[in-house]
Amino acid sequence: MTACDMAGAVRAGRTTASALVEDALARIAVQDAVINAFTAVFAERARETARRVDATVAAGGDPGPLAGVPFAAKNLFGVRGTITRAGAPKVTADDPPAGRDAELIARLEGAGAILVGATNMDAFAYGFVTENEHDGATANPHDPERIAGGSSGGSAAAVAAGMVPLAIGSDTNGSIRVPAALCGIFGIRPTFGTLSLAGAYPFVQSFDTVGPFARTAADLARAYDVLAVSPPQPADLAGVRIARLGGYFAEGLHDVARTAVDQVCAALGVGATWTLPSAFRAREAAFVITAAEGGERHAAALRVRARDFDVAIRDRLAAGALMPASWYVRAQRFRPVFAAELEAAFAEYDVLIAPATPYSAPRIGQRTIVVDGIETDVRPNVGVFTQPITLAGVPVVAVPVIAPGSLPAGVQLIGAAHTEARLLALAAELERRGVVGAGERPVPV
Amino acid sequence: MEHDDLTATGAYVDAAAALLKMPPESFDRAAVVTVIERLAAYAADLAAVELADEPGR
Repeated sequence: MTACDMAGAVRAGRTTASALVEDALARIAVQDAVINAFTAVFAERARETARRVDATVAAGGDPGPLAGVPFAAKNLFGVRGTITRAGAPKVTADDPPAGRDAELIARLEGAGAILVGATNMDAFAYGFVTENEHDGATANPHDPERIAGGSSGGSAAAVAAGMVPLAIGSDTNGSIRVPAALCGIFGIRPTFGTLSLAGAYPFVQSFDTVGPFARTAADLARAYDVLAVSPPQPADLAGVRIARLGGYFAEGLHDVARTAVDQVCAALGVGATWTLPSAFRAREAAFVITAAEGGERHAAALRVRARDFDVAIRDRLAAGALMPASWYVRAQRFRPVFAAELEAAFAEYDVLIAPATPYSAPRIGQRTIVVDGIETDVRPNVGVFTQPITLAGVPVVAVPVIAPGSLPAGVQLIGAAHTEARLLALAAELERRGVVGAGERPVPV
Repeated sequence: MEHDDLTATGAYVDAAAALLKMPPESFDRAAVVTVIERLAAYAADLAAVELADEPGR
């Protein structure tokens, strides 16, 4: 059942929030033994919240557009009364418990949704694989021997497996788009600054965004409308101009990723190709800014408890903390150059299409992968197509393409700032035509 | 001190050891240098385009 269906059933009295929560908890109990998406389950809190929703319905009140819908939150979102783990439980162990829920959790629960648990992630959101030294790897529901992607891998896997219909995550360099693609679901990185970061553990101030995952375009749009302070107006797709990104975005990818883009473009009748000449440099700049701001943020903790850091990030954070300020300045100074390139693109086209990842999910623990005959590192390169777009701060909806017998691939629908409604409408249209979609739940209870 | 001097002398490894308060043999020195080298290369590439392409120039 979709989130929209659940909310409709609760609002109409055909089921209860309590029943939906018990169902979600039962699914988690069975499936998460394999998937390892959750680092905490808030069963009693969820049951109490469900009772309040059911009481509202019983009293004839409006329980909200997400009435009774169970959801999960990446464990960097503050949850009242608990320590915010941020994927680094040994480093954050002495932090005080959150005094209130993160703003996104509060907004979802204000709309009737019910938080059931917190989900696994790369330490401090610095990664694309969700192979956490302390909390283990999150398995991909389509093949538990493969990664879910990251850094919001737990949230994506929980939704892909059907444990919950909605989840929230963060996207700094691709941490929503990458796991959405590898797990075969929908996700949105909103325009930078659009959704509140209040109560979300920070990583890179210049790039951090937060957003939802869902198994359907309609559920994603419903969640986004609830999370946005100013919900977008419905968009008209008539006359929408679309181009495929070539050059950098058409090189260094496996057939599964290329074919996914081909299918989306064919369905939309896209013949035009646009090239962003500085895409490679945009990735370079994003890499440098991420290292500098991430290193600076954690330098103080590295000085006093370096051994508590996940080794997968400790050395990168140290390098970032040590780099000369001039490198960071050069990267920041480059940002308007790339923004101008995107502005030129959006003067001609409304939506740009690109692969979300260069390949489908690698195996857990896999360190390298061969692309175009060249062996490359998996960890930094999973986000090779998401990271440049990060630099511009524009919105992206990741849509899933799952060919029979294949692992999922994802496609980025990229728009100009504040065009989320158009991108969500386009995702819904592609889903309606059967071009994209999450398909059947890969791990039935 | 220029970047090349820092890496050539192992200064980054020493700096990382001081930051982490760990002896150099107890962390991945090659990883630190690899990341620094990559950042340096990226920064050098970005420096090559900024003056010509920066809007307003």
